[in-house]
Amino acid sequence: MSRVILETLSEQKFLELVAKHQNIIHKVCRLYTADRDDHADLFQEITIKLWLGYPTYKGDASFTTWMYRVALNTAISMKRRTKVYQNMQPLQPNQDTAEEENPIGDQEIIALYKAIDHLDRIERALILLYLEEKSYQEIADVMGITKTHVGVKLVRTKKKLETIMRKMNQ
Amino acid sequence: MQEDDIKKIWNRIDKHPEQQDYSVDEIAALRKARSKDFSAWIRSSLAFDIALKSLVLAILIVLVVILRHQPVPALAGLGIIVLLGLLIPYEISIRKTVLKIDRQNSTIKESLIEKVTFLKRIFYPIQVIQNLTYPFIVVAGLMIYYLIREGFIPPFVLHNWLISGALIILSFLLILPVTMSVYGFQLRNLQGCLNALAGPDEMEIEADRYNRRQKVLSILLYSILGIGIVLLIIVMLL
Repeated sequence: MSRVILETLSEQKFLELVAKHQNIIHKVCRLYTADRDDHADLFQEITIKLWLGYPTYKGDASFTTWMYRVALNTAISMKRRTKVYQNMQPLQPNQDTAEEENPIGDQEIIALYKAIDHLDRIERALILLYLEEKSYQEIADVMGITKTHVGVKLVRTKKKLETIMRKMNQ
Repeated sequence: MQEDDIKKIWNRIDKHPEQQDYSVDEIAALRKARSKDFSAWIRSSLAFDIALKSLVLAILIVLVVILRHQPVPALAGLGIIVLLGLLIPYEISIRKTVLKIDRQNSTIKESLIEKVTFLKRIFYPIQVIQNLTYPFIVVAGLMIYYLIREGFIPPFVLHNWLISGALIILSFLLILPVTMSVYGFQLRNLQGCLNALAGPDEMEIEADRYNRRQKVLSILLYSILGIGIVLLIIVMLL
C-alpha cells in the first residue's frame, strides 16, 4: 500500500478514535477551565497536541491512557484562570434517565466541580484519573510517579476533597 | 460526604453532557487550527524575531557595502552582521527544540521536568538575544538616517554618543520586562506543578533561589531603564 494511503488510513483512524473517546477530553477541559469559551479553546488545544503526538504514539499504552496523558499535560501547562464556570447554567440531564434517578443530581455535580476547583492542577489530574476508575498502575503511567507515590498522593487528595465538600455542605 | 458518594456523583456526569459531542469532521478541523499555548507563543515570537533579524541583516549588508570607505561605521555594521549570523541559527535551533518537546508523548512528570529545564536553560539567553534585535534596528536606523541626511556617517561628538547610546539601551530594555514576566510566569506555573508532583525539598529550594535571582535582576533592569530615561531627558533638555 502506498505511503499516502497508509497516512490517510492512519489519519482517519486517529479522528475516529478521538471522536469516540472525546468524553475524556471534555472531562479534562471541564476540570481545568473557567468557562465555555476556555473549554472550547482547551479542547482544540488538546486535539492539536494529540495530532502532533500521534506519529510518536507507539501503542505501548492504551489509546485512552495516552489520551489522558496528552490531555492532562496540555491542561496543566496552559495558563488560565482557575475559577469555576462563571455563567454555568444548571445542567440539562438526558430526559428519561438522570431526572428519575436523582432530581437534585445537577446541583451535586456542580458542587463536586466546585470542590475539585479548589484542588491544585496536579491534584485535579489525580482525582480525575481516580474517579475514572483508573488503576494505580495506570495513574502512575500517566503521571510518571511510582504506584506507592500515587497511593500516598491520592489519600491526601481524597481527604482534601472530602473536607472541601463537607465545608461546602455546611 | 464519603468517597463512595463522590464516585456516585462522578459516575452520573456522563448522563449530563454539558458540551455537544464533536463530529469526526469537526475534530479534523480543530486539529488543523493554530495552537495558542505557551510553546506556540515561543515559536511564533521566535519566528517573528528571526524574520526581523534577517531583515536587519540584509539591510546591514547593503549599508556596509555602501559605507565600506568609512571604517568605524563599516566595522560596527560588520560586527552586528557577524553577531546576527550566529544568533539567527541559535534561535532556529531553539524553535526546533520547542517543537520537539511539543511532540513528545512523555508522562506528566517527565514533560514538566523537560519544560522546566528547557525554560530555565533558555530563560536568560533568549531574553537577551530577542531583545538585542531592537538595538540592532536602532543602529541600522541611525545609519540610514545619517546616510540620507548627510550622504555619509559624520564623526560622533559626545552629544551623538549620548543620544544614540540612550536610544540603544532603551530599545534593549523597553520590552525586556514584558518578555521576562511572560517567561517567568510560565516557568513559575510549571515549577509549581512539578513541586506538587515530585515533592518539595530540592525543587522548592531551587525555585526559591530562582525567584530571588529573578527579583534582583528585575530591580537591576528597572534601575538601568530609569537611568536611561533620565539620561535621555537630560540630553534632550541640553
